[in-house]
Amino acid sequence: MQTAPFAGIAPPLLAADSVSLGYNTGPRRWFRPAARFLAVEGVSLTLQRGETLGIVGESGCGKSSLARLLVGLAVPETGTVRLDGTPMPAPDSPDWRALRTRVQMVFQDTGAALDPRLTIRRQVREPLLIHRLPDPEARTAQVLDQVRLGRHLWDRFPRELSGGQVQRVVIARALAPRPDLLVLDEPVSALDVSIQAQIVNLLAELQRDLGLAYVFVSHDLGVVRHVAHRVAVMYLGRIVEVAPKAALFAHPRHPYTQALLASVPVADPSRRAARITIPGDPPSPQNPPPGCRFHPRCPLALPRCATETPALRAIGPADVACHRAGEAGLPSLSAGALAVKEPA
Amino acid sequence: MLRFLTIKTIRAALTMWLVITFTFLVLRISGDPTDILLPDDVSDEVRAFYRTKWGLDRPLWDQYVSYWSALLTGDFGISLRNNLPAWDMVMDRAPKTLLLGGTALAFSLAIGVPLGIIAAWWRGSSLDRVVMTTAVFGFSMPNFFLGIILILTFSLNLRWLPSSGSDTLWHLILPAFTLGTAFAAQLARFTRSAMIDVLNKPYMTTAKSKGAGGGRRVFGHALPNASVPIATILGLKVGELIGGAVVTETVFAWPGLGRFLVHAVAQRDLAVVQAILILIAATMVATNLLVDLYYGWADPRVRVGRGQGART
Repeated sequence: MQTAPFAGIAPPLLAADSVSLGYNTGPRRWFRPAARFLAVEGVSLTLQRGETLGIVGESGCGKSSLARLLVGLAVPETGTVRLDGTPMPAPDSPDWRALRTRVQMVFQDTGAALDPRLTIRRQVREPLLIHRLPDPEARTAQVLDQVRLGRHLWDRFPRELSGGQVQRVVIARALAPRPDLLVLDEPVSALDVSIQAQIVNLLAELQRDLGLAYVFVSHDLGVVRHVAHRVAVMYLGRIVEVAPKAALFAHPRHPYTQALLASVPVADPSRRAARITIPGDPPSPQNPPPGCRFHPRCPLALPRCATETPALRAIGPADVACHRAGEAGLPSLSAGALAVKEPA
Repeated sequence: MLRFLTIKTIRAALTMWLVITFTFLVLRISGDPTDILLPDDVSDEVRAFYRTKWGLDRPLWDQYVSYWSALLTGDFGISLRNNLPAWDMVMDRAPKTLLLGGTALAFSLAIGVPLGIIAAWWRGSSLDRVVMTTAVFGFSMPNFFLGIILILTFSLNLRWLPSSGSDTLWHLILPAFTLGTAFAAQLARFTRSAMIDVLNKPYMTTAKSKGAGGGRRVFGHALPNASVPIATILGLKVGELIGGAVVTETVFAWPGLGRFLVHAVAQRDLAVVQAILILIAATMVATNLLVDLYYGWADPRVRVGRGQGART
C-alpha cells in the first residue's frame, strides 16, 4: 500500500481528470487534417473502492469510449486517468500489462470476446498464466464456481454455451487475476430479462464478497438503478450530471436527465405519466452544437447556453452541468414542459 | 471425429472416381490417337490394326470397364508411343516434380506467412506498404519472365548457379525460387488480410486486456484462428505447384510432370495423360483431406458439427 499524499485522504481508486478522446472520421488528406470528432470531451470522475458508478446515456454518447479510457485500452488525448493516484501507463507497456491484474474489462459483445478456439477453462486460465499467478488450475476452478458455471461446461467451447453462460465466463475471466476494478460495458443488454437479473445479482454478490469496484456502463436506466451507488449521465461526450443514485432518480436536476428518466417505460398504466419526449434527434457528434450541447433541444435554454459551456457544479448532493440548474421556480420537466405533440 | 473422417474419406473417393471417369471420357471423345501417332499416308488396314490393338474399336463402356479392371490391379495401361507402362514413366518424373513443388511450397510458406503477419501487425505503417508493394510485383511477374531474369543474372552474369537441368541441388534453387515467388506474394497478401480480420476481433482486445504481450496475441490467438483460411488456400495451391509448373519447368529444362503432361496431351498418349491426371488429382484430394483434418484440429466449430451446439 502506498502512502496517501495527504494525511488521512487516500486517493480514489480510479480518477479521471478532464479526459478527452477523439476519432478520425475520414481519411487523412494531403495538406488537410482528417475530420475528427470528440467521443469523450473533458470528462472527470472518481471511483472509490467497493463502489459502483453507473454511466448512462443514449447510444453514441461516448459511454464505451469512456470505458476504454478508464481501463487504459485507449489513451486520452488530454487529461489523465489515475489508478490509486498513479497515471495509467501507455498501453502494452510492461507496466500497463502488469496493471491488468488490477483492472479488468467486461466487453459489450461477450460472444465475440472469447477466442472460438479455446475451451472455457483455458480462456479463464490464460491471464493467470500470463501474470504467473500462483496455482492457476485451482484459481480457475474457484472463479468458475464463483460465477456458478456448471462444471460440465468447463471444457466446452464458447459456441456451445448460451448467452447467459458466456456472460458468466466473461465475468469469471475478468475476475480470475483478482482485480480491484471491473469496467463493465453493457454487460447485460444482450441478455433476457431473467438472465439479466441473475447476472446483476451475481455482480452485487461478488462486490459484497470481494470488495470490487465497478464502472457499469449501460443505456438501461432500470439496470443501473439496481446496481449503481452513483450515476453519471452522459450526453454527446460530456457528463451532464453525476449524483448518488437516490438523489438522481428522485430529483434529476439536469433537463436531459429529467427527460431521460421520464422516458423509462412504466409497467403500471395507472402510474404512467404523460410521456415526455425530447424534441429532435441528438445532434451529430461530429458537428456538436457550441455551448451546452443540449441547448438546441432544451426547453429551458437561454441565449448564454448557446455560447457558454456549463461546467459541473455542486447543487445539493449532485454535480450538474447546466446554467439554469438550481434556479428557484424553474418548471420541472416532469410537469410537462418538455412534452411535445406526438407526431401525427 | 470418426464420423467427420469417414465422410471426408468417402467424399475423397467419390472425387477420385469422378476425375478418372471424366478424363477417360473426354480423352476418348475428343479425338482418335491414331490420327496423330501414325503417319498420314498409312493405309486403312494398318490404322484399323492399331485401333484394334489399342482397343479403340470397342464400345466406350467396354473400354471403360476394362480400364477400371486394369486400374484396380495397378495397371495404368501402356504408353501408345513407346509401349512402356504409363505408370512407370510417370513415376520416373514424379520425384523431380515433388522436389521442385515441395521446395517452392516450403519457400513460399517461409517467406509469405511471416511477411503477411508482420504486415498485418503493423498495418498501415510504411513497413506494411513496402511488403505489400513488393508482393504486388511478386505475383504480377510472369514465371517465364522472372525465370529468364534469374538465369541472366545468376547464370550468365554472375555464373553462380546452373541455368538448366536437375542434376544437383544447385539446379533446384532458381526454378524453386521462380515457382515459389508468386505464391509467396499471394500468401503474404492472403495471410495479411486473414490476420487483420482476426486482429480486429473483440477477443483480440480481450487478450490484450488480459495483459497478453504481442507474441502471445499473435501466436496464441490470432495465427491459429487465421490459419484456417490460410490452410484452405494452401490446399488449393498444392495441385497447382505439382501440375502447373509447366512454364517454369520449360524455362529451366526441369524434367518434371508438367512438361511431360503437355507432351503427352499433344501426342494423345491416352494412358500417360490419364496416369498423370490421376496422380495430380490424388495429390489434390490427399492435401485437401489433410487440410480438412487440420480444420478439425484448428477450429473446434468444425469438429463439433452442426446442430450439436448447446445454444439455449
